[in-house]
Amino acid sequence: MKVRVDEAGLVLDRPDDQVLDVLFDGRRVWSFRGTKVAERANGAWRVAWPRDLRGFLRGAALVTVRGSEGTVLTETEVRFGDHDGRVSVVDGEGRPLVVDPGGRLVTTFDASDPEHLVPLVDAIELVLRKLIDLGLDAFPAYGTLLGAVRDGRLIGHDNDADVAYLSRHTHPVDVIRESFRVQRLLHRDGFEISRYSGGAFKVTVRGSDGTPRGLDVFSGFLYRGRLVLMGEIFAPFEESWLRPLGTVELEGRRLPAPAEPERLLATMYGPSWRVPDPTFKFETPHEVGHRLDLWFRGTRTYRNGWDRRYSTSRHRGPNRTPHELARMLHRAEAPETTVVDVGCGRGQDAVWLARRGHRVFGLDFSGNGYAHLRDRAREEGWSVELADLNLLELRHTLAWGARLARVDGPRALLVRHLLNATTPRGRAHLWRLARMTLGDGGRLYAEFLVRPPGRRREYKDPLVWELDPDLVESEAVSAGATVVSSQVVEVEGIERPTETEDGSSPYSCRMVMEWGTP
Amino acid sequence: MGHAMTDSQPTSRATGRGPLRALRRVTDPRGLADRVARLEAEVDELQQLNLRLAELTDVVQELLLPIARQDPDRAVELLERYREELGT
Repeated sequence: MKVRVDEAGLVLDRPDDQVLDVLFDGRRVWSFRGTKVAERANGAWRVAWPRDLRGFLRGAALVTVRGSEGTVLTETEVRFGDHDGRVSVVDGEGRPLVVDPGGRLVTTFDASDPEHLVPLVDAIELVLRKLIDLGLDAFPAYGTLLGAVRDGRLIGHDNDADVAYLSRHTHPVDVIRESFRVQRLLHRDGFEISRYSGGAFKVTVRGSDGTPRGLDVFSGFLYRGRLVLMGEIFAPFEESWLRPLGTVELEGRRLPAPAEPERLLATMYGPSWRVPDPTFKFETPHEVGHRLDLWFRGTRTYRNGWDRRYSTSRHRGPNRTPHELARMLHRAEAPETTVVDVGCGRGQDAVWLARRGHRVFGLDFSGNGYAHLRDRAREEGWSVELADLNLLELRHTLAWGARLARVDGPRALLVRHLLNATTPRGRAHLWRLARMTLGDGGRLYAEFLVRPPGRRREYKDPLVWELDPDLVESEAVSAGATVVSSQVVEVEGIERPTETEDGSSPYSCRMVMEWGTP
Repeated sequence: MGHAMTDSQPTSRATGRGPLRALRRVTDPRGLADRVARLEAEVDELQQLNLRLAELTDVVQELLLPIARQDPDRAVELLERYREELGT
């Protein structure tokens, strides 16, 4: 195959299925298969630079394209734009980044000093030991098992680690409850944990260079002759292929392993699992994904989008001007009112209200958004608590509802562009939280996008959308509230949660509802 | 919260209208396709209860004991710990 490289991407004369590695100044930054990504344009097969990589393409680079046998297909000096210097694909701390099979830039293991990975390997060993101590048959899984069985190492082009355990339970409800228990016990051992679903969570481990690395912990169980293993597997399987456990070596450590790891790897990666493939992406059959979704998921919807949006927010403060809805609340409520800003985003309204004398809770499921102001609030002693609340998890909703119900004095809820940014489950849980918090009296101030009469609006931001005020009102009334005012306004400047495709102003509904004294 | 609050909606197959429905009347006089689609939607809805039931049971199990022992201080303490251990 012949390959040409230019500023826009690569041109292939006849794409085939081999894995092509792209190196900038001798370092791999991306791998792909021509048949998967090349597109026919003007009589040529073109492969555009991945979207996340484009932002880094400034300056010159010696671009090498290597075929599967290591043969160099081209080596070309390319200049991107009229910038001086060399192209540098690194993160804010100077760590080299690589495009992963999902198109995202990650810090792969082979780009890290092996010394920096020691804390991750320590954590794999420790978490496995904790799980085994709990009576669970635990082992490295997915890429971590693959690397261990292939050559006893972490896979160079991987960037996180996976472990799994085989539960003795056979019903999803019991498996989920066990996963909750395991999470609590690991939390008590000091691990930082974020839950993906009812059957999986991530432990964050800091490398010795500070790089955060994910160690995913997946539940597995046997169900009617099949192995169910979060997050991808639902396949015929024998219990004896997993237990009693054997052992495998990883980075010089002896770790527990499935009785026949080859069987599990073939189920995970297909018959060619022994051949390394940096472009591998799970293509879970629809029925499997659907079943796992129904059983376990729905607690993280839109979360990755918000996390990505706020990924660099910790380092810069938000615009501190409050939104009109916060001003409305402040004008109408007594100064001693405790305010709960649900879906507080960057936290500027929560802080503004706190600085005007309210006790405030600012809650959101994407912690990076408010991290900057939380640090400031701690330094300054502001009366605001910025904390995690994932409204999609009933446990979060009930635990926060119980806590807020114990707060003395009057309370009010501020809910700005949350109802129109979450799922029906998220809305149901918001109403439950409101009822628990305001059930003995108090007001909720909501704002959400609405469609102007007779006009369609296309929004640039896929994370917010329009809601029908009648739907919101009927849900609020079902939750025991009375709507006391509702007003539709054209919003400008910082009041806009998103731009519209045609540049016109979005419309918001500001609705105040009240729970009476029982 | 009623039907509007569930995550799943009946599939379009269950509510199909027009020529498709007319064709079905001839090829599927007992309406089996529609019934299967409706059943699928209902099974989906039931399967979603697993997570909710597990969440509820977890809360109840962790917090019921101090309430049964009529120890309100311990209940508040456990509630705080429960919330702190939820992760993100």
